[in-house]
Amino acid sequence: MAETPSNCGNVEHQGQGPKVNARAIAAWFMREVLPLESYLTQFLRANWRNPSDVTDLRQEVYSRIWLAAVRQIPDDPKRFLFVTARNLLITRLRDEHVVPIEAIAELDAVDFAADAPGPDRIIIARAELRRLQSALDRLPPRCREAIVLAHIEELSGHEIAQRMNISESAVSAHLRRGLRALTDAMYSEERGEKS
Amino acid sequence: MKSANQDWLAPAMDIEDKAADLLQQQRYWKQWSESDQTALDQWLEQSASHSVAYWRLVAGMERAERLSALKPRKVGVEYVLNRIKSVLPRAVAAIAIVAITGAVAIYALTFSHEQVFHTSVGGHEQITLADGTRVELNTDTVLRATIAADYRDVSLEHGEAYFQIAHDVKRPFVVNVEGHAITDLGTKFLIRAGAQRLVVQLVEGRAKIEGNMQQMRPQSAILTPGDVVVATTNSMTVSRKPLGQLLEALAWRRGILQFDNATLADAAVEFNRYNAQKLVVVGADVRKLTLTDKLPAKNVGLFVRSVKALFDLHAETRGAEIVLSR
Repeated sequence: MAETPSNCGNVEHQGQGPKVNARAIAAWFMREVLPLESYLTQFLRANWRNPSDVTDLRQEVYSRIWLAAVRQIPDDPKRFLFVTARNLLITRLRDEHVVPIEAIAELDAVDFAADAPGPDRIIIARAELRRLQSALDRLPPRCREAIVLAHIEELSGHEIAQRMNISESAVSAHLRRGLRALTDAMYSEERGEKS
Repeated sequence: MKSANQDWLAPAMDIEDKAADLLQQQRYWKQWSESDQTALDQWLEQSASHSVAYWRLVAGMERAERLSALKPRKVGVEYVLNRIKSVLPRAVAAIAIVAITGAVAIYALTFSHEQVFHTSVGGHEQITLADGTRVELNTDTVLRATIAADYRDVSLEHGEAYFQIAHDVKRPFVVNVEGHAITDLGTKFLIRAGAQRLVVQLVEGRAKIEGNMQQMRPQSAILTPGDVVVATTNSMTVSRKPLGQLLEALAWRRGILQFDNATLADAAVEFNRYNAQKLVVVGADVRKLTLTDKLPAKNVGLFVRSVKALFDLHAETRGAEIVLSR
């Protein structure tokens, strides 16, 4: 990658050491971390007994990474991501007093990191398109209609409300749901079919 | 100091929902004001979990948009088409669309239209696809190409082809060969599909190769000029060649076979790709002889005469075969 973490907008804050600008972190996060999401999800699922916690765990891993990046953008995002995930799982287990810590201290986060693809991976467009299509197909019809009107016809929220003859808050709710479903399709479900 | 642990108290789903709400207000409604932006910025600053949820959705939306399935184009038509395609098999869909209106029918034809190109033994064709991509097909090659409004997909069934891709970020060009996929990033490359072996050589630009999708963990690599990938059903190796040698591999485009310390056995295999009259090299020691030469691909006679003289061999014509031996 041409961009290096050190030159994307560091700002000196007195007394706190160097602090990285939020835009720079966002760009780094989207470019380097998010493409690994399907692997992270898989790792969390494999090592945590309650699948319904996975979204929360993922969010927490991301938050920790974000906070770390505020101080300094990690050099090796892949490794950093999986080590953070492992440490989080260990902490959670300790908090819950369920499993002896040794049982999971061995969690093979590093191996996992090695298997995940590098940051400059390019998704095969056709598979991605299929995933997007199936995500669209799975949306409730009215929700899909709102998303399609917004993106294909480029209608504003008000225009969508008129066209669909529903309230603006209903349009908001549809768009909100659509955005989340599309994002999950793009990141989380990338390799979800096999699990 | 904000703590990540605090965020644990608010379930991720709620944060995500709030982030999605802010994003849809920001992106789809016209009255997004500066004070709204300030409020958003403040919310993002409140907690790392807010930031990651918001930027994740931004990235997801942008990535979905880049796929152009959501790009503004022929309004409605694509939508109808997609709907139909998702319900019916492709052939039925085409018929159904023709039945709707004339305009839609034309669109459907341009939407997914597969063309098949092939060359016979000794053949050499230059074709230009609908998107401007130029492909040179070497001897005994079959290529299927679908250039659609939102994707470009080519399969090399067998043989060898040199691609000069017309770059289009919105429509990645994907070449499928024996379960492997090569995605162009603005590129010239050569692909040869042989017996259970695939060779990709990148001449210019960048490309990505992904191994057999059926494997649990597909291998992949980004190629830069000079990279040569040799992939079999269960392995993939990348090595580098000087550009000069790469160009040698492309000598067939001028009807030339170029050998650089090639064994006689390998050279015979090369000639056999281009000619109906097949060379057979007999004897382990003879097969291991090496040569460096440049020869017209379709002049087997010249090759036979040179190696006969060079290595003091016998050549005997038996039907469609020429047998070389000591």
